[in-house]
Amino acid sequence: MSISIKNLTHIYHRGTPLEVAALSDVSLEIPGGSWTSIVGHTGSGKSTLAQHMNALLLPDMGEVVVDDLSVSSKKDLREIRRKVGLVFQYPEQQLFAETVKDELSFGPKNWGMTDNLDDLSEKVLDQVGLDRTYLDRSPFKLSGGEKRRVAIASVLAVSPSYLVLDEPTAGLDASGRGYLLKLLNKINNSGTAVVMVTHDLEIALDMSDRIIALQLGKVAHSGSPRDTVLYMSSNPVPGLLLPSIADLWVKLSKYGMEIPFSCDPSTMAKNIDEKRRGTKK
Amino acid sequence: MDISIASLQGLSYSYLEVGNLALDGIDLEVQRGDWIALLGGNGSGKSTLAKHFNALLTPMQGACFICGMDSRDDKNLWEIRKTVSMVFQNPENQIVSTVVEDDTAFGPENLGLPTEEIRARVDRALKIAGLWDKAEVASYTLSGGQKQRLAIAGAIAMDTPCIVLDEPTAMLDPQGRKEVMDLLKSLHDKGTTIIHITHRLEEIENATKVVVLKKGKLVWRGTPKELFLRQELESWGLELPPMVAMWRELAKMGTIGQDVPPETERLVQALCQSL
Repeated sequence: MSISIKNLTHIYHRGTPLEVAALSDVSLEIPGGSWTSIVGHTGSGKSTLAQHMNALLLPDMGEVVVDDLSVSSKKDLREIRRKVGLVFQYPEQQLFAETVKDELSFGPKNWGMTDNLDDLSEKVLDQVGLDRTYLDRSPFKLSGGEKRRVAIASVLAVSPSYLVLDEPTAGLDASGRGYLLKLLNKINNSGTAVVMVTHDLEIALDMSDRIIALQLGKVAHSGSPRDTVLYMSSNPVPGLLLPSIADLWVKLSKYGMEIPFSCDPSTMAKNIDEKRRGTKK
Repeated sequence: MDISIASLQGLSYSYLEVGNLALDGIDLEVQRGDWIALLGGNGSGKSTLAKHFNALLTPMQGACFICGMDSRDDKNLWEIRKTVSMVFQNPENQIVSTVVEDDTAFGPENLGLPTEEIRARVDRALKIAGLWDKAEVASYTLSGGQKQRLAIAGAIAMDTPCIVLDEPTAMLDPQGRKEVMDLLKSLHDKGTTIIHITHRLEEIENATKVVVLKKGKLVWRGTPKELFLRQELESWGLELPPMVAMWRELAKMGTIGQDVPPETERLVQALCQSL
């Protein structure tokens, strides 16, 4: 089970003077159940790539296959769009209903589910940490963090296998960000693959199994967080800054202090401390 | 010249007739040349406070004096807005013209200045903001960081001694954040008083004073270095920069001495020396 992208090219404004290839010849694999982060500078093509994963955009060249369904087969598009849920960067662009309840039951109704919609709405709302008092409220009168959570809940309502999120932490403060990441971690642990598009390398390194770095519409690098840090320390990708702790880790290893990689401050402090004690013995 | 830019005295504000105070008894002095970092989590009241500095809001109780002018007195409004300009979080909400230099000229035009003076101010502002080569470009084609610098250029063109910025980097990528922070530094070096609202502790190193708001109350004031050592940060909705968080733990465990600063080069030196 995976989202498999082969030689994908996407061209905006084709045949006009503004023609630009947002993605050129991109190949990659998102394994089911994994947490993959797509990182890159503004304009690197990461949002375009995200929109290809649930066939919101269709390839100019190449192929996108979700599990065993191809976007080139028109009859499979519907199922692909259920399997891959997309959460936009600005929840305002996604939310539209008068109440949270209508928002949450819209998806399931479209897939022909009519039974127990109220129970389902309550269940997905609970999954994102909001209680039933939210059901009758207007999604537009919630805080930024709550709007994002309702947008995620509305996607979870159709039980996707892959959850694709475009910059889910933009504009949130430290506690809002922490809460959202914990929530995504829980969703990921229950078996749903998470694909996170972000320019925040720190979060990507901390949370992901795999990182894909895009640069000018091409895959510059893909690998584990540790490999990504090693790659980027010798091949800087424009617009992506190596987080301070990752930078420290690289420099320590250059001076002969080899410790396990982590982007979490306290894990890193513990690793350093253990190494120091080990050497002294 | 008077040294006081803003003097807030027991300032309280509420959005509702009755009920929760968004701001509760704030006392704060801002002096010419200060760089105030105004910190707090979501809902702490920091944006509400920001809007008091140029009289977009006026106190319900207490008082707010801008260069000695009472903000509750309507006849001071014009002068107050010539003293303090505002930059908001989302530059899209602030850009009014389709061409970069027209947008920068909007404020000075509203002041009814002579054409040559407007031209001179726009040129100067665009140069300081690093947008000189974009003067005739359509504003919608700018990157996020450039758009925010355009919003700041608008404030520079107003030639106010003080600029208030409400989370100007929140919607920007790392490159855009750096551009805006570099611009703030150069404005401060030129003598502009900066009031910078943020929740990113990475951005406060140049601040002369730090104040923390929580639930409408001013709960702490001090310097950036003092702030990093406070234990209450989390309960204030603030997060230490990862490097500082790690440094603090290493110091706590005694792995490094308290005298080593939380800077990469110095830490690497200290840690690898005795291997």
